[in-house]
Amino acid sequence: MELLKIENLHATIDGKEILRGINLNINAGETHAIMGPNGSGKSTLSAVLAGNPAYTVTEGSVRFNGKDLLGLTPEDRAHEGLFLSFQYPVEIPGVSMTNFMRAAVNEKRRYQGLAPLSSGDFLKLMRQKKQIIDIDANLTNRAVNEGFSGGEKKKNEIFQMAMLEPTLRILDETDSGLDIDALRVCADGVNRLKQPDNATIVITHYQRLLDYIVPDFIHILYRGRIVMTGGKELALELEEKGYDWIKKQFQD
Amino acid sequence: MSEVNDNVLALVRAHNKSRDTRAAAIECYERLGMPGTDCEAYRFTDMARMLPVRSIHKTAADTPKAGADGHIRIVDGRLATPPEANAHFSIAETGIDNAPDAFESVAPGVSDGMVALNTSLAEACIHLHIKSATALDAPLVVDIDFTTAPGQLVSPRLLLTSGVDSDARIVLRQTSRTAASVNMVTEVHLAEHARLEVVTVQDFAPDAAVVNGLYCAQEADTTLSLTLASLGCRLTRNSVEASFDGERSHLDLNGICLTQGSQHTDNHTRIRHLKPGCTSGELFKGILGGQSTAAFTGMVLVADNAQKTEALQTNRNLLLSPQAKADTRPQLEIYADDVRCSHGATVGQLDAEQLFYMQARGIGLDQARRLLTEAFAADVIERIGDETTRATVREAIGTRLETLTQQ
Repeated sequence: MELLKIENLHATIDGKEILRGINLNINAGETHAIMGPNGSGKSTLSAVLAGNPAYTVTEGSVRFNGKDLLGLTPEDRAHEGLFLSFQYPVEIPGVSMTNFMRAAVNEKRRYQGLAPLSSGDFLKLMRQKKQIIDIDANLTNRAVNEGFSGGEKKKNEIFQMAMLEPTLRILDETDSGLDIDALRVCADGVNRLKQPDNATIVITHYQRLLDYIVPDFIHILYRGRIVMTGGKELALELEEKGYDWIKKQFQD
Repeated sequence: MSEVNDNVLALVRAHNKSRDTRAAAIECYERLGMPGTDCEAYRFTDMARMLPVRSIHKTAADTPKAGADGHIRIVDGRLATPPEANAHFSIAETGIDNAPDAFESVAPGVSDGMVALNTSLAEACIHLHIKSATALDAPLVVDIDFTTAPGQLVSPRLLLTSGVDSDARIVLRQTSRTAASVNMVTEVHLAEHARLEVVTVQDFAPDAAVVNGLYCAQEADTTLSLTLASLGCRLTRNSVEASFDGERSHLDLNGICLTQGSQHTDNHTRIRHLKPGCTSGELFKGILGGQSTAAFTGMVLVADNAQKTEALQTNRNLLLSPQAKADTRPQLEIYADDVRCSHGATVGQLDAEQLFYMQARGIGLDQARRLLTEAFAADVIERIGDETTRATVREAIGTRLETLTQQ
């Protein structure tokens, strides 16, 4: 089943074109890795899919669950099942994790025509999901990401993913700033939450994360376009030859 | 110069104690008049233009009914049937000319036109006294209601005194359903070792115009906590002055104001460190929507003998709309050398990254704005010591923010 279909996607920020014609199809059950040198547009792609208003789509289309994704607000994209794990999770002082998650879960339920969860049921759900990612119980009593270490922030992203049960999980450089233990915990969480009806996009600069979250396809993004697609062995080739190999080949 | 002037005039007035209080106030008002923007303390608010005075309110003979839930109730400046006598506090109403000694000991009737106007017109002095060496468990709620017609000036006058070694919390709940014109003055006096919290909640009809003077004096070893929660109406002017008249005392002065539409709120504060070893902490926050405006002035005076003073001041403003405007003006005058004083002021908007992060989790823009705005207000509310009062204020602000944060 086709979950996401990106056609000829162009996007700019501050008038500068970053995405220059992306084409990508993703089916339920698949894991796709997007790799590429710095500045190739990897994070821009994830931001545009999530609806970050800082970027402007100038051309192309994106279908998600058969719907026009680009016509939806960021919150409705989330309600439709899109989840972006941020490269730099945002600190929100004064808003507790509990209130934040309760609002997120209940707004999604409202979108689906369901009644909000009772306080008791919500706390039960939090407890249950905390176990998946092995997140410190105290973290959920604190303000969103405030004073969290790099590892705690990334774990918190996966915890939120567990709470929201998305169908399309986009991991934007989840490995950056993580030590090997935290990396393993995050990857385990992503793998345990894998379902036949959901799909994953792993955006990464390095091959390391792909040892833990094994992709079905690897796409190499360079200068705003996917210039090469292959199986998981492509990551090893990149690791060996470096991005210069790509740069030389696809210099415009 | 005004410091000297105040002192001299105070001496002159003390010398003429037998003089009729009201006549003296009228004389002062003749000299001072309704302050305009040329008056430094009213630079951001032109009283003559913003406070409608077409007539003066006069209470009819029948006294209003007692307050609900054992609250003390003041209606249009007059005390309703007070609760029964109590071992912890007393409350009484007198005329202005036979008011208790503490009356006019704190408010600067000789230098502030609005205070002089209040003394000229107040029908009564309502005196709430916390008895010495008592501790009140529950907060004393004073419902201060206004029912007057637009443009009819009401001038309530309240005197709060805390006896030696007393401990109390008072909530002043100011409300109106009408577009009232209010010029209220409250004097607060703390005797030695007193601890007092006064939380003022201003929840007026949208078209009301309110001038609220809060003048405080603290003797030695006292702790005073003041919070002003202004939910917004056409004009809100809070003039807050606090003086340390004794050593080793502490003052917390906190405020949160919400404005929307074309409302205007002006918080003018002045803390006078006149004795050594006192500490003050001041935190004011403004949340502004529509084309509303808010001003904050934070004057801190540290007299030359007030060594070991600590005075910390913060003013933060959140603009929810590009047309809203906040003015902030810290004014520190420090004449002692062994002091720790700081001030900081910011005017900003909601953080776009925080909003997007919340939206990306499925939280709609309106709710994201509300959650962030409530978070902005939270630390002022958290500073309210009394738990029940804190919950009441949090709820009142939360309700008002629901409309304020919608785009």
